[in-house]
Order: sequence, then C-alpha cells, then structure tokens
Amino acid sequence: MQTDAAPGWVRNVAWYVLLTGLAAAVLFPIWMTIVRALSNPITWSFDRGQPPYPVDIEWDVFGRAFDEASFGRQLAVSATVTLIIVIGQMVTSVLAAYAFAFVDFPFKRTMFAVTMATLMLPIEVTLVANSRTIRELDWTNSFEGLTVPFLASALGIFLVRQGFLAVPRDLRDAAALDGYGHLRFLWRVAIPITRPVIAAFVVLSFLAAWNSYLWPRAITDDSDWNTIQIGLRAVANSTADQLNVGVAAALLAALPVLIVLVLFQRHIVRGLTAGAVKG
Amino acid sequence: MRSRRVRNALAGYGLLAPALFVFAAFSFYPLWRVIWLGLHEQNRTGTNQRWVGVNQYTDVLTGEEFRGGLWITAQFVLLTVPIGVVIGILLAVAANRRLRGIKVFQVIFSSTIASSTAVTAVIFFVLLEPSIGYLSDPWIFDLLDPDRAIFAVALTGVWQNLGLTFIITLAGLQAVPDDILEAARLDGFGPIRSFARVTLPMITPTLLFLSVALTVFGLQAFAQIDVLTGGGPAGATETLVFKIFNSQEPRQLGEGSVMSVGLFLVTGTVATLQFWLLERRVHYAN
Amino acid sequence: MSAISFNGVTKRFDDTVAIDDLTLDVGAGEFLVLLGPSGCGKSTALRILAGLEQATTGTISIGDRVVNDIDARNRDVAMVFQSYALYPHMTVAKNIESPLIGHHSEDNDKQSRREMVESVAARLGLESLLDRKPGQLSGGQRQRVALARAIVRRPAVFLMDEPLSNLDASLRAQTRAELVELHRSLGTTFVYVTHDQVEAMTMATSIAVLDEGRLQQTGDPRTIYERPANAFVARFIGNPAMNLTPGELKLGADGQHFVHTAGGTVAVDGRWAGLADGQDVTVGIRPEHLTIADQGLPATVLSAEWLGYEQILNVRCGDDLIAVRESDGGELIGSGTNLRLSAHAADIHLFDPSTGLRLAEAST
Repeated sequence: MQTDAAPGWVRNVAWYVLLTGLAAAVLFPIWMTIVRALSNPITWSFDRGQPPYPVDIEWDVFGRAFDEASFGRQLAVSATVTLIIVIGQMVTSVLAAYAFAFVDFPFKRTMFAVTMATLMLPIEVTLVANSRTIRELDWTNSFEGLTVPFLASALGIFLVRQGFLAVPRDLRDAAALDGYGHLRFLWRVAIPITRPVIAAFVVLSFLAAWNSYLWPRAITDDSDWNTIQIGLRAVANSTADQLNVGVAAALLAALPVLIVLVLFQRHIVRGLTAGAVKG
Repeated sequence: MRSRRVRNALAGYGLLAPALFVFAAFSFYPLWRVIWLGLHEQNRTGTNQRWVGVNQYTDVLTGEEFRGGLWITAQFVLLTVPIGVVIGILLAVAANRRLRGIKVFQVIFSSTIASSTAVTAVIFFVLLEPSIGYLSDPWIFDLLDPDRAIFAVALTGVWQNLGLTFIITLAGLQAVPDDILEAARLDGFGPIRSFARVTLPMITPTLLFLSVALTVFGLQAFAQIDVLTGGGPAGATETLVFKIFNSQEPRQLGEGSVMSVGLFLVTGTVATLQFWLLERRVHYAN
Repeated sequence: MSAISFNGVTKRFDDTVAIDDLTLDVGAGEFLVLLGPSGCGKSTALRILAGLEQATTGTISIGDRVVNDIDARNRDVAMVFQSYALYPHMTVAKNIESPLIGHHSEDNDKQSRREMVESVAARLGLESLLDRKPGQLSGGQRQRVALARAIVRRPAVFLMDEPLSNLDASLRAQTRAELVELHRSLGTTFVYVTHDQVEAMTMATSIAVLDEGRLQQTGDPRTIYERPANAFVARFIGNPAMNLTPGELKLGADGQHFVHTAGGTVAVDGRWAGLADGQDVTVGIRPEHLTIADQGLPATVLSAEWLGYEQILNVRCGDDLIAVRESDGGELIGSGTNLRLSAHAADIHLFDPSTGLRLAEAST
C-alpha cells in the first residue's frame, strides 16, 4: 500500500541533514557565547571579521569569573537560597498534599481551590506589596527575604497530591489494619511509592529557584547579596575587554542547570507534562 | 465518632498550616494590599498616604503608561507565542522518529530550557549588542532602533521557550497511540495527511496548554528587558512588569499597584479567553 | 458470647442501601463464609467489620466489645485483600513485619519481630523469598505473603476478601485445602467473603448467604444445601442451579400427595401436608436428584455436555428447560432423545411463588 518515494537510506540521510541544520540553528547562539567567552577579548573584537570560532583561547577566563566577577560569592548565595527554597517547597508540598489526599477534614475542597488560586497570583502581580512587606520586616538583603515567600508552591501541592491519589486504596486499608497512623503511613508507604513524582517536582522547583530573577532584583541592592542571575546584569555594562569574563560567568550560571537537565531528563518531562498530556 | 472528626480536622489543618501561612502572607495578603495601595497616593518618603479612591484606577488603567506597557507586552506575546508553538511542533516532529542518535538531537533541542532568562539575555547580548555583538548587521533585531528593539527581545523569548515547547510537544506526540497511526497508514494516509488529520488533532490539548502557558509567561516578561535593553531605547521595550518594577518607590507606589492589578486582570482575561476560544477546537480522545 | 456480632447493621451510600438490617452471630473459631453475588453487600459487611467503613446504623461487636467507635488499627483484626495489597517497595520480610511495626508493644523489639516473621514465613513456605519484592513473585506466592502478614500478629479475627479469585484454577483448589488446614491449626475465627459457592461449601463451618444487602440464610453447608430457606439460596448453591417450575399442590386424603406441573405430575411426601390443597407452589429439584428412568416425566433432550465423569443434559420438559446431571457413565445422550425423568419425593423442595420462601413443613 505504501509506495516509497525514495529508498529508506536516502530518507534517513535527508532527516539527518534537516536535524543537523535545526540543531545548528538552536545551538548557534550558545556557540557564539562560548566563542566570546573563550576568546581573548582584544583579539576577537578588533580582529576584523570576528570569526565564529574562538581565537587566542584563554581557559582561565572561568577562574577569573570567580575572582573578578565575584562569581564565587554569587554562587554561594544562589546555592544557599535554592537549597532552602527547594527543601522548603518539598516539605510544605508533601505535607499539604498528604492532607488533601488522605485526610478527611472540613472544607477540604474549598481549601484546595484556595490553594490552587495562588497560581493566579505570581510574584509579578504581588511584587509591589511583597517588596514593601519585606522592607517593613527589614528583610532586604537577607536570606529570609530571598526565601520565605517561596517556601510553599501550589504547583508542588498539585503534583504531589496527584501522586498520592494514585496510591491504591487497598494499600491504605492494609496500612490502616497494620496499625499505621498518618505519619508512619506517609513516611513508610506514601512517600516511597510516589518518589518519582516528588523527584520531578524537586527538579522543577530547583530550576525555578536557581533561575529566579525578579524577586532577588527587587529586594537586594547590596552587591554582596547578588545571586548568579542578578550578577549577570553587570555583563551588559562591562567594557569590551572585560566582556569575556561576564559571558563566562553566564555559561557557568547555566552549567548546574544543564547538568540537572541531562541527569534528570525523565523527571523534568514527567513534571512538565503532568498538566499537558493525558496518559 | 465526634472525636474522629476533630482529630481529622486538626491533622488536616495542621499539615496544611505551613503552606497556608506562606500563601496567606505572600499571595493573598499582598493581593489585598496591592488593591488597597492602588486606592491611595503615597508621599515621597512613604510615611503618609491619602485616599484617592477608584479614580486612580481609572486614570492609570486608561493612562499612557499602562497602555504603553500593555502594548509592548502584547507585542512580545504575539511575537513569541505563535512562532514558538509552531517552531516547537516542527522540532518535535523532526525529532520524533527512530533514528540512530536521535536522543542527541532531542537533548540539543531541549537544551534551551537550561538557559535562564538572564543567561539568555547575555547570550543574545553577545549576538546583538550594537558595538560588540557578533551580528554587525542585526537586520530587524536592532537593539538601537526603538521601532525594532522589541523584535530583538522577542527573539530571546522565542529561543528560550524552544526547549520547553519542544519537550512538551514531543511528549504529546509520543502519547499518540501507535495503533491509531498504523490504522491511518493502512487507510492510505501518507505522512503529511496522517499528521494533519490524525496526529495534529490528537495533540491539540497539549498545544492548548502550551499556548496558554507561554502567553502567561510572556505577559510577565521582565528579566530579558532588564538585562538586555534596560527598557530602552527610549522606553521602547518597557513591558508591564518592567514598569511595575520601577514603580516601587513611594511616589509611584499607587500607580504601580494599579498596574499590578491591571496585569492580574489582563492575565486572567487573556488566559480565560484563550482557553475558551481555543478549547472548542481541541479534540479530547474519548 | 459470639466472637463476632452484627446487630441491625445498615449501610447506606447516598441513595443506595448496601446492607439492610444485617443481624448475624459468629461463634469463636468458626470459619464463616459470606456468600453472595456481586453487589450483595458481602465485601461491605467485611469492611465494616474491619473498621474500613462505618455502619450507618446498628452495632458491630468483636468479643464482648462494641467496636463501632474503635479505629481499624485497634480492633485486633487482620485482613487478606483480594489484590493482596502488598507494599510494592518493601521486601517480603518487611511486608510481613509491617503489622508488628504498626502495633509495637514492650515485648516487641527488633529481634523478636524478626523471629516472628521467620516462623510465619516458614509455616507458609516463604523462607527463600524473604528478600524479594512483591513484583518478583508469582500470584500464588504473593497470596501467601498476604496471608503471612495477616497471621504474624495472631489477631482475634481473620478477614479475607475473595483471596482466591486471582489464582488460576489448579492453585485455587490446592489453596482451599491449605486454608482449611490453616484454620484448623490456628483455631482463630475466620470471616471469608466470596461469590464462589464451591469455596463456601468446601471450607465453611457456617455460611451466611446475602443478596442485595439482605441476609437470606445462615447455616452450615449441609443445611444450606438440603434445606435452602428461599428460592434464591436454592438456586445460588449447586451447579447447575436447582430447577424451579410452577406447580399446584394436590393433597390426597389417603396420604398420597402430588404436585401438578406443566411437565407432568410428581409425587411429594408428607412434609407438605400442612399446606392448603390446590395451593400454587414453586417446585424445586436439583439436577443431581433427577434420574433417567422407565417411568416419570416425559422430556426431550435439547443438548448435552459431556464431562467424562458425568453429563449435563438440557432437556425440555413441559414448558421448562431443565438441567439433569447424569453420572451413570456410558454414551453421550444425543439431542432429540426422548426420556423419562424421576426423582425421590424427599428431594423435592416447595417454595412460595410470590415470596420465594420455603413453604412450611409439617414435623414428621
């Protein structure tokens, strides 16, 4: 029934060509960034032609990012803030999701709707008031200010609750007859069984916290408190001969995320598609 | 019986308490406060405020600042979402096949999700910045031209969204059951017809989700402007959130608050409208 | 004092009544089977007993305690679920140990728990599987792990919800025998739910038949078989089901009583002498009690199922389709064959046509 217009291997080669072209287009900006970071800034900028490959490579540019661009300090801030937020969101989401999935309490449906309603209130909408609150609490330029507003996540509650609801009722009944109370059931049965969902959320939570820009920008003005992302702002203001250091910092900023992406690809896909794809 | 209900209520609310506290303090209270601040005018040091009422809402929401920001934001969304979805489909279709090494391409196409908005801004700074960027002739992505700067900003948005769009669309494509595609093949559908009449309808829920999500993200555009253009040239890229960000000082707090509420309403309306309009064309399997 | 009592228990789910006024006593050490078709309420009754559901009205007692308000954890019952409900992420050993961890007491330390797990595992032949996870086990092995988990704590009552339904036929027969042996050796009260009357008849010391939430009859297997309390129980027990046909009772003054049916006249004995002459009745006779004879009701064979040790004949007798079990061996009886059926008067059952209840017998 199917007539091949061209032999199989020709079609495959055509696909490879197309895919390679698309991949080149997608990677081109990253490649140029790598070129810019590695090349000696004087040679590369003023050398006529600005070649699309690195010239006079200076590998120490990454080390210099740590010293000159305070990347080390920013890394510490970003890492600490991200760690606190991820752990906080994981704990609050698991506890709240447990309540929604396994505990019968009054007004449960209303409270769930209320929780989900916060998805409509992103930080962009509440920024003006929240930054005021932080100022009033004297939490500017502090870990509290950077983390506390993000210690809970409606998305996390949603995802983990889905996972908990998928635990077969029989297992809950068996645990009840085995004498398990809520905490024991949560720790010994519910969490181990839904580990993949929780892991997916942890990855998403990490991505959001690590890449967060608006909030740190709003409540920190002391450069000692810059996160990695905020530190990148300076790149646009750097002189031509310092640009490579700033660009190197940008690459370093994306590195942990890239590692997480490669290692936890499946978890990311699961987390992102929880709402988008059926089945 | 009674004590069981009490125990359950205590347990349930006890478990919810930490999350609820955060939501109350940093989502609901600020919402109320933003609305409230929008009804007042602050003095320069923020120590005093006076009531101005709903007038401030009508003034600001119909004023130039808000309308201008809304227009710039709308341009950003219109430039990034449709193109982004289409490119995502193209990449996902291309990479959804059994070829040796296809995983490599899939990782490459997903990779832009690793780039935060700030990092993406730096990447395109490297390409587009007038004096030191690689592209000495940036064509329409001209950061110096007030009429065209938004295209440059939109480009960063499209590129950054590629990874996310690709991952989600690919998952949607892979969820199309094999046997349906085989049935189409036996029915005589060639690859293009099969895609248009079978695959595409079956991924419409995914595409709907994607376009609503990208639209909402687009309406919140801030970091790329802050890093790449600083709002310029001459305020040509000042999105709503950018304007809101710059109105945290007491004197502009009232205006900023109204714009925040405006953003909230716009986002809600656009998302709902989009969902409502597009959902009719979405095909849900069974 | 019974081991278990249901007193006027009713369970309502929104508009449906799952259990209607159930009153039932179970003696200590009994093997009670709750038997009935799907949806009859037997699983609901079991779950209410376990504490996994709450009765709408009525009380449940275990021993001398009313347990309505006592949590499932504290009722001293264990349950084997139809799906086994094994924790997929725990090893067999940890699954079996689970009730001991949930119910820890002073003399329950790690060492003694381990010993209890190992002794129960040995009893059920699971010693070599202790480190495996449920996903690596066969259906029969998983079932035994579920049993082990239920036994390990030596509760007062074992509950089982259709534990054999997921096993294949040969394993089922073997496991039935093992369960009977287990009951005998442990001496604990068993409450067992099934829709399979073979399981009920072979394992139970007492059967409670339910239909649509209502208790139809309680009794030992022999009584249920020989004196079903109503037409439902009569047809539910026995395979093929008891044949029922309408008839009219004719009491003879000389002690000869008959029932006229569309298929012919059948002699009945004096048990029914207390009823009214000319009364409409439903006549019941089990397929295994019909014999092919020289005299009797005329019937024509429509089809025959030959099973080797017996044949099941579907015959037309009068207006009805009747099943006959013929175990005399010999050739397959072909369709179209005309034969005559007879039965002993003692094997005839009479039921009220409108209520389905067994008609009152005069004491002989």
